[in-house]
Amino acid sequence: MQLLPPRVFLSVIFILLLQTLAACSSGSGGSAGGDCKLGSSANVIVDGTVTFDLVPHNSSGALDHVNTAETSSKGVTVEAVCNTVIASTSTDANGDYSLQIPGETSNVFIRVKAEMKTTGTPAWDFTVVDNTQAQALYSMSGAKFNSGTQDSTRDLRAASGWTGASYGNARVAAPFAILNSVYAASQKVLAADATVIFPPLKINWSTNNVPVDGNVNIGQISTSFYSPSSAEIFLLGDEAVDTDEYDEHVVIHEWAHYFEDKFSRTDSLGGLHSGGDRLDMRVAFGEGFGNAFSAIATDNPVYSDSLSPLGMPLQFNIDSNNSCINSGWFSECSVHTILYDLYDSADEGSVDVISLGFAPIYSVLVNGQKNTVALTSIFSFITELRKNKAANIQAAINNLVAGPFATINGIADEFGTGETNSAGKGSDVIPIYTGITADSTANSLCVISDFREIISTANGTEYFNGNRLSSYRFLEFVPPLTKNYTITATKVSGAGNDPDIVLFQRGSAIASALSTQSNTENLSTGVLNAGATYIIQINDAGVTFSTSAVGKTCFNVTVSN
Amino acid sequence: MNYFKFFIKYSIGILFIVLAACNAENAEVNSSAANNKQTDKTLAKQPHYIGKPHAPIVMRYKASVKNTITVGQQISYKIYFSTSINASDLQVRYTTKADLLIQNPSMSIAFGEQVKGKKNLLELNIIPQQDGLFYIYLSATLDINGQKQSRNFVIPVQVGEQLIEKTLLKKSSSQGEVKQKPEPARIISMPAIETTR
Repeated sequence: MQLLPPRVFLSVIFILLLQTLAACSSGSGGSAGGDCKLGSSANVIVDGTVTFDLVPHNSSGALDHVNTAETSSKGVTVEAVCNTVIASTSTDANGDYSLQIPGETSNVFIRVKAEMKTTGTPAWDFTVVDNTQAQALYSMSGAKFNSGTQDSTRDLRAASGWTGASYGNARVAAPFAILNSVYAASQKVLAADATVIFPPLKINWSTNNVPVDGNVNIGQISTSFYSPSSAEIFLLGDEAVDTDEYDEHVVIHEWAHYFEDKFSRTDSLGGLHSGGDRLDMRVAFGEGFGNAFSAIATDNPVYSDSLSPLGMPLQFNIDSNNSCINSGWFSECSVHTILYDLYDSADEGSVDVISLGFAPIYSVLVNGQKNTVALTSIFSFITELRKNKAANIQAAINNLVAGPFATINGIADEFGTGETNSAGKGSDVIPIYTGITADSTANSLCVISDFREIISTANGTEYFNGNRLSSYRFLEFVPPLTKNYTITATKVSGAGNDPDIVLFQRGSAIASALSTQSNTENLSTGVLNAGATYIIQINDAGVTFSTSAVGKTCFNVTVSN
Repeated sequence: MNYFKFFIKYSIGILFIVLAACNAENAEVNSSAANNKQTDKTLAKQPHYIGKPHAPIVMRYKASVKNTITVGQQISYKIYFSTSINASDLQVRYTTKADLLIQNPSMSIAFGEQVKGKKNLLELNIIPQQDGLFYIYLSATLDINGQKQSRNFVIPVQVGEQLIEKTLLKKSSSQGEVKQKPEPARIISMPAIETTR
């Protein structure tokens, strides 16, 4: 083998180095305004309006590209860039901006970032990033120009990229459409509380985002969702299957989960859900609130998910006042109808005779609902809402929750005491909470598999979404003494053989026993405070998640000193 | 000569550092959502991912090939659809892009009346045309008392050993150029339609 001459070798190393640097630079960005030279003349004003193409829905809920409307982009960051950012501002409620930059600056350009940020009180920090590009922030830029010595106006518009039958060009408008929905949502909250400090929220959107479980870094995000653990939203974007950037109800539904998580409390298990499902009450409240808030923030009760040209749009009227399929305290449809009717100014029939607006709903969410000793549900919400209200308002609330779309038989307290709607399953569903005292046993508390739904198969076993009615049962325990207790769940009947126990205090799991021990589970609680309220959650792993146990499984639950 | 050796070592060192920096940046991407979607006992005590409402339809599938799929190889999929409510009809439409050729004579199927939990089988044959990550796109539509609701799905098809990220990079480039400097954060720069007044 012949060695290269030293000079040639040196050159090769240099070229490799340069190529590597270039590759790195092209993958992760280069200088935005390399040729810019700052002028020394007096400042000039560059102002203008930032807009984006908003694609509306037609009457059936599909995207209506023909009627795309140029819409002002509110509250977004606008920058003048000359190698670096030399001036920055945010657009106002009309999408207008104004910047001052040195006169005679050459090759400067205006950039609009897909972010809404402000500090102080109130404050917010919302950004739209690409989860398939290492969470790079979306932006759009105008052409380079010389600022000259006179003021100038430069309007920037984000185009949808639609070319008649598909997105033939870059979908520049998409991140700004998402922010438009976020703006509407945050403004609704700010109208109720002008001092809100919104925690940072990243919204991940990509043209690669598709509805399949997998690697989110390549766009396999399962569905549009909010993740409580990372406090981020992910939105679908592949035009071949499902795009959500113009589905404002979808975007705000997910934003509502962020709001509930950060400002109120969500005890929701999450997971798949639809309007007719009989859900765990925590899930039903969270999803019902998400739907209702999407209608509240937009003042449009018709929820539309366009689902692209491939499928029929998913559309439902949150204010229809029709009976919900499988209505009850376990139905997201019942919850969203109640919440929207509490808010809206239109009263319908004899059932909806109340119009509170959003402020009282907000107040309950950030106070009573956040601190309830029960799990978050329509029971805890309504109980807190009724507090300190005039008798006629309380009566109107009671009237609403008993309506045909809700069929909740009176809300006595946050525990749903006395509720009689069991979805036809009697004592397998109610009472919702079973009271238990120290050194006592609750006999034959049952969980059922009737309402679960298959979500995956692995090694021949089918797995289910454990977020349905009576996948879990609950007990209320108030310790008489401050000390450790032992909670035991022992199977007494049924195909399940893997009981699990979780202990909650104000929605936080403070102790759990999730072993695979057969037929019995023991939980040492740690020190519990006398007089405090704790919620014991019981389930069977087989009944909740897999085909290993079908039907009903019952346990005796004991709390011992 | 000593200077030459030092320079080579130094250059190679820099090369590795630069490569490492590039890789480190790419590895920083968030993966929390995937980690949060596990279906196991942790669901019993901590919040899961919280998704948008969907039509009550579930899809599962099995592929005839478990090993690497190659270009030109026919792949058969058994795709099962089920619903959690009764309905008067369930129809499924499916399509692919040019990278995957569908061998079925029709691009849709009607399963008729549905009762909760009934399994409906769609057998789909495809032939990949090139290496990369591609998708079969499916839309299942329920008819409930004349009201139609869809849920869309995709089935990923990884053909060959080509890095998925490479396919993705090619696809993403149409959205805009990714820039790093002068900001510390990565920015995707897309073209605005600009008018001056």
